[in-house]
Amino acid sequence: MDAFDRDLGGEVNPYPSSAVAQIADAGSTVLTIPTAAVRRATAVMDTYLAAVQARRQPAPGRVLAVVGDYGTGKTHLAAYLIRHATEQSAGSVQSLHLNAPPDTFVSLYRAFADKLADRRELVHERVRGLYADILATKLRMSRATAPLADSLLAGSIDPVQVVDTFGLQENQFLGRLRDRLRDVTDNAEFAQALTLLLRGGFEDAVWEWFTGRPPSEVLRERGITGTITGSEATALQAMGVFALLLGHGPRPFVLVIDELDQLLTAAGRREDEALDAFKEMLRVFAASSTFLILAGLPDLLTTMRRDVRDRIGEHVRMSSLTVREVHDYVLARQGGQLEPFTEQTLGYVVELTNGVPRGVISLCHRLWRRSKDQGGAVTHPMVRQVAREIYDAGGAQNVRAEIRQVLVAVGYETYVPEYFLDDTHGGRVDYWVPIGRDDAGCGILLAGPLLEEDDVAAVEHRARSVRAHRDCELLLVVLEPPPERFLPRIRDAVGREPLHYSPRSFADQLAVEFKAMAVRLEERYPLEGPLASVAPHLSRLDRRQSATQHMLSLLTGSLEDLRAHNDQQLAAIHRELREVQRGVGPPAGDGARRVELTALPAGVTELFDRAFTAVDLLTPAGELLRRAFQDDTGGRGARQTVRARVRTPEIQSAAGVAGLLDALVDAFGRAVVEWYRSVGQRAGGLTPRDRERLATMCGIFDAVYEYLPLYQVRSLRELVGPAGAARQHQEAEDVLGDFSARVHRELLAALGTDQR
Amino acid sequence: MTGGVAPAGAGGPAPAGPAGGLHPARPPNPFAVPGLRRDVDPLNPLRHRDHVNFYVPVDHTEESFEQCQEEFGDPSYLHHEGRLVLVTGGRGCGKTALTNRCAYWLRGQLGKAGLTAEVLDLTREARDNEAIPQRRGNVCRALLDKLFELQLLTTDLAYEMRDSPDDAYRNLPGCLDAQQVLIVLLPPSADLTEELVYYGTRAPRRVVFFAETAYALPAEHRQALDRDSPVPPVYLQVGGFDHRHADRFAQHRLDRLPAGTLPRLAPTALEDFIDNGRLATIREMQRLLYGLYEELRVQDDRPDEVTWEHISRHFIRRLRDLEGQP
Repeated sequence: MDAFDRDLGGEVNPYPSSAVAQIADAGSTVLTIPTAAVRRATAVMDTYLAAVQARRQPAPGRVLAVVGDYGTGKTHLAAYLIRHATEQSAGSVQSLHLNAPPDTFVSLYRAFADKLADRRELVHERVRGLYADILATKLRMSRATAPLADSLLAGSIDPVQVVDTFGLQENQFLGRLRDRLRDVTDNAEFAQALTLLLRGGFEDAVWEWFTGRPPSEVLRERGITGTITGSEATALQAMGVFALLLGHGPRPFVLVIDELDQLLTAAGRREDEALDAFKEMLRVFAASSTFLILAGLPDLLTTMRRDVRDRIGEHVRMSSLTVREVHDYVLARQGGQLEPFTEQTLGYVVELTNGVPRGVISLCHRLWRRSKDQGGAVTHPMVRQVAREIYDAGGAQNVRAEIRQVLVAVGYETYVPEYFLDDTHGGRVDYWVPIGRDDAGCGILLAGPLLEEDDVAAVEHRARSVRAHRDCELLLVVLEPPPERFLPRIRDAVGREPLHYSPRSFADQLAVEFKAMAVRLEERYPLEGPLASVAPHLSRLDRRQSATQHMLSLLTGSLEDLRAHNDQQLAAIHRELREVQRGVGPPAGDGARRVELTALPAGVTELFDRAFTAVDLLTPAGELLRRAFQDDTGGRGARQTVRARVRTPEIQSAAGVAGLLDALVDAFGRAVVEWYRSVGQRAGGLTPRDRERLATMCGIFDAVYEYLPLYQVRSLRELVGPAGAARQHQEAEDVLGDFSARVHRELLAALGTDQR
Repeated sequence: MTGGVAPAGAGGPAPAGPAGGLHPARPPNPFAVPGLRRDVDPLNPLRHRDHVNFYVPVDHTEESFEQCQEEFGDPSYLHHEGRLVLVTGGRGCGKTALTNRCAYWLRGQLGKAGLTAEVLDLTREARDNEAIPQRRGNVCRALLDKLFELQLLTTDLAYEMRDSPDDAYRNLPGCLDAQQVLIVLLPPSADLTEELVYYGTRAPRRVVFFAETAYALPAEHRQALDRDSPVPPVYLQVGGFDHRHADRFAQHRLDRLPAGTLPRLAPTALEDFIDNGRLATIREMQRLLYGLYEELRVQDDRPDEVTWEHISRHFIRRLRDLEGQP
């Protein structure tokens, strides 16, 4: 139910304080604005309900996609459709609501099965219903038992109890039930498992299997051998089975999968097999009697493979609210009164919020309270003021933190925060990244709410000031979408669309935008002359991205489609690695942790750089885990991978070995730096003791290196990677195999001493 | 076989009314069987010798019994081999009653052949939802415990192996008197027919396992039993039946009462009840007719004969009982 506040005078605020819909929302306090999207979705639902009730053939299953941006009311619409169906069907509708995890279809199935396990009665009722049908058909043949058949079909008696009480042939009827379930679900193992639910003592074993565990021995002995969560395909197939079962019969079943875009973004990186299975699941749902609602951001449809999208029968795009609709909503909320609003102030509310329902409701909630507190009508300045308060609470700090993380992640840790291009405030850039010669660069401007003329003028002024001083690419980041009418001016001043901050997708969008800006700047400067100094930097960026994407892709399982170009990519990575120059250092995030090597001779530093890089390539776990803590889409992908793979003993052993290897190189490096420093501070060249000490250190490295079972790391790479992994591993062994000897040689050479 | 299940309950003489005569004496329920505690408990001559007189030749149960007699007509081979007797048939078709009848007869037959036979009832020692290894272990331990209790083991060797069924069964004959034969009634195998292969192929000499299942024996298990058992198992079968056999069962029971004590079944009553090809089970008939006559025998005003309508009304009363249950 919506949450409502009381004002100081005890009057209840007619607007919900939280405009975030819950699927359990019900009751008289929920108000649905009958927008075009709502009307269209309702019509689809009505068609479905009529077909279910009429038991029409073919089965009346529907798949409806509801897409829209944040706050546009997707979840609200799903909840409304369930309420509507319940009202239309005298309460006989059953429904489940899932939030799709940003993970695999296996995780989606687990979420589904967990929900279902909490409502086992849904499944049990359907199985018993089928059993009752079978019994009734038989009992109806006799005049004496016909009343029994009627009671069975009406559901007033339990078919299991009937069989027991009247001593009927249980195994014969159960055999028929199993056959029937096989017809309904097209799956022999499910038919067997569901039948076992009617035999005492098997329920727990069956539900454990349903929720994704391997079948227990009592199930295996009865022919149930597969594990539902063994693959994404089996998990999706299982969802289809339940759709067929739950949708069977005259009672409607509605399944809502919310935030599906999150899952598909993750799934998009994986193999086609999973998407094929998802497509098949959609086909099964449509062929069942289930109403499936898929809700998500507009990306849900745009990023979906066309053949998969074609399986979705109906698309509904959530629309913005018009002034008229908001007007009607306010009247409905306020018992027919428009006060304290006016037509004009409502129009302004719609303009500032772009008609996004969540924004409209939040603003109305606060404006109503403010007007009551101040004892007057809502005015334009009040709307602006309250809007600013809402947006300021939106957390500019979070945006700044995310921008910094993204810049570091894509290799621009050299960014300058709060950069002033002149002495005026107008020349301020929130983040400036120098790229190319002549002080050119990319700038990120962060703006507060752009509610009125002055706000937009300020942005225009800033953008033009920066352009006047520097050749640059600019990006404006905004906390809330600016009103439509300001967009052309912003585009003109900044040079591109403003990037709207949304917690789920901001990091990815910013990374894409920023890379595009860097590329454009690069194109304006030929890759020669002074720009050559930037080349390693850009190489590093590409390398990091390539390595990270490669690693994530491998770990998350999208093997097949990547393998084809993987070799090329690896070759490129290795070429770049060979070009790594002293001072570039190891990949992101490791520089601070690891030993400072710059004091060493160039040749030795290069050896250590290569050693660290080799270790990094062997174990992407560190980068993966760092990403897992990021609150963005990349972080979700990494968390998915961590959950899926890191728990396996092989990975843990391999990561342990790789960690030790990393620590070993690091410790050796520290010892070498210390040794080199002490030697350098002393006049008179190397003493025999210095040589002995260096030899001892190299011996210690070799001894420990010998103890580390590198084959375990190989097993890690082979587990997650294609054939190229073996080559990587070989290269790492080449680098590390006689590492200490090379360091020894280089150090002595740098000190002008031969190594004998 | 024989109409295998029968009730107890009102099996004895009908109780006289208070003061011995305010009500006329109630006739006994003709479908009650002496000694049984529930109306559908299977006949068991092993415990109540007179139950042998209650078996009615419905379906082809009599033929199954005769087949068993034939297989063990000369039981001397049991000195060298063990054997499995497998009774198959749907739930309520009288498998357990047939098993009890065969075991009872076999015990006597072995005695005639100079052997000492002991029937060991392990039918409750395993559950459907236990895995086969666990069931096998439970049965073996229970068997050895009973043998120990009955002091039939001449050495403790097999008893010490009670947790290792393979070893225990291999050593069991050596731990028994040379003339001792064991008739072991196994728990119903339900759909775990795979375990039947174990008992068929591992039956120790001088041990006869009786097993039953309500599920069809898969061809591969049948082949394994025929191929690998020391002596091919005895396969006995029971099944459902039509109204003629149902009538035969009902008349057999009603004939136990003096004519006119209680109304007879109308000639078509059961035909109307079991028609259109449906097969009834002995348990179903027993439960129906026991319940029906339990009501009739306490009525002061009884119909001349029982028709399908009486049966239907009885069903409806039971139905109301069911609907009243949570």
